Amino acid sequence: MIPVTSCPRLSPGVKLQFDRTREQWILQAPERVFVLDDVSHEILSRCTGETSLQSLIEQLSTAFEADVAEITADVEGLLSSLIEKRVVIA
Amino acid sequence: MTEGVDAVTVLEAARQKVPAADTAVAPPLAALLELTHRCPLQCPYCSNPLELERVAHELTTESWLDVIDQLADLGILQVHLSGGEPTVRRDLPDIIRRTTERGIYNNLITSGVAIDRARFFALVTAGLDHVQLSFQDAEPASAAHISHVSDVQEKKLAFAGWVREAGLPLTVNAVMHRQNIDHIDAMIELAIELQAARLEVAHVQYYGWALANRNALMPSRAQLDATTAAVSQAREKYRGRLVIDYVVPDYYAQQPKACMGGWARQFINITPSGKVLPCHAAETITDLDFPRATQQSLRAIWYQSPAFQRFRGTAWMPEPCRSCDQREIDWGGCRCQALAIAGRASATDPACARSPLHQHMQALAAQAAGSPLVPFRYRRF
Repeated sequence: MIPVTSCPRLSPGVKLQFDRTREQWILQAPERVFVLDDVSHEILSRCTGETSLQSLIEQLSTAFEADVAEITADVEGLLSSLIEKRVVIA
Repeated sequence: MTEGVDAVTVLEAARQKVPAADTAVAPPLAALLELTHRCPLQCPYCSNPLELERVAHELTTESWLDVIDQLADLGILQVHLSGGEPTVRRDLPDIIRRTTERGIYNNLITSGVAIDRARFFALVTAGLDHVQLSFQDAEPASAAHISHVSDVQEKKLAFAGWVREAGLPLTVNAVMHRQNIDHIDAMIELAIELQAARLEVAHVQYYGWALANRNALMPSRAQLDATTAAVSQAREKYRGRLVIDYVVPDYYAQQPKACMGGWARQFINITPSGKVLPCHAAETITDLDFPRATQQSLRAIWYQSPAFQRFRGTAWMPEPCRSCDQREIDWGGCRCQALAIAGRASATDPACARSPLHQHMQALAAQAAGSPLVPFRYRRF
């Protein structure tokens, strides 16, 4: 579990970028490229180190008019997998 | 991809946007730029060809900058700056700056021994994204023996310190073979001590220099199994702290690796003199005519050159590959390994259990691993 007060951010050397050739959002990481779907992009574009996990979830829940529990599951699922890969720091 | 030597990890690809190879050709994802073949180290498993290219034939700064512009226009997302030792090129800051300007993620693949602190920080200022630092061994005397450079370890440790100081992510690349494989635990601890985020445990793959040194380098099956176990334990122990990439060497594999993610599907390699290849070992296939970046556009080379089309997709495959349900997973494995063992680049990769030469390759491995240790044939001009 990631504490709700922590402010997730991209690890050093990781960049969020729009790939113009393939018209998709990607995460550039050391010797890895992650292709982002719309939900992942919405989450990761808020991982600036300035937004708490709780606030990030509230923002997404408002923006997508979705249930907080559902958004929480999506966000935690994505971020824990990227934390384990050392792409995100929380 | 050929994990091996200067191992270049292929991207976790943009698969949903990559069409099936027989219907359309997708743009490349990554490029390995071999900026020079000059290198102060003489590792006997070097991924460079036996026929090294001379400094007089190296591309100019302007040509490399033009190559980077063309790669960006083609849709390349990442470049690996390699060699030889790329930091011997004095124009490396200009090359790095151009990749950054064009939105390409750059990765410096280095031995860390040919650059001082000031020149390293000039690379950081130019926009360096990531460093992959090779280690020949965790033990200084053995590292000196393998690289044929006496003070290699202290220089590398100092270099790793500068990477940390700059706040850049570090990958440690450990090429494993018979003469260092028993130090795998120490290699993993070294990566932890250096605060690396990634460790590539790359077994030597046997073409070029490594093939010439096979008896001096081939580990036994027992050594390989011990290494595999050590890696899997370390992955558990350091979960979330160190990511370990690991690939079994072809000679002991049951299934072929998807070499380079498939021939000419994701990857472009450019040699110091501007030859354009689908992988860094492709020049061992001597009946292919590889185009030059100074003579044709990279776009024409990627989409139209016979060398890039030769083993692209699945149409070239012989049986049993052509009807195999793994054909779009491993893309037929490694063409250079097929040539080295079967004598034909179009043969089934002998790493595959379904190749008629699979047992033969395993016998070659056992024979090499059981042979008396012979001196290295060091990589030199």
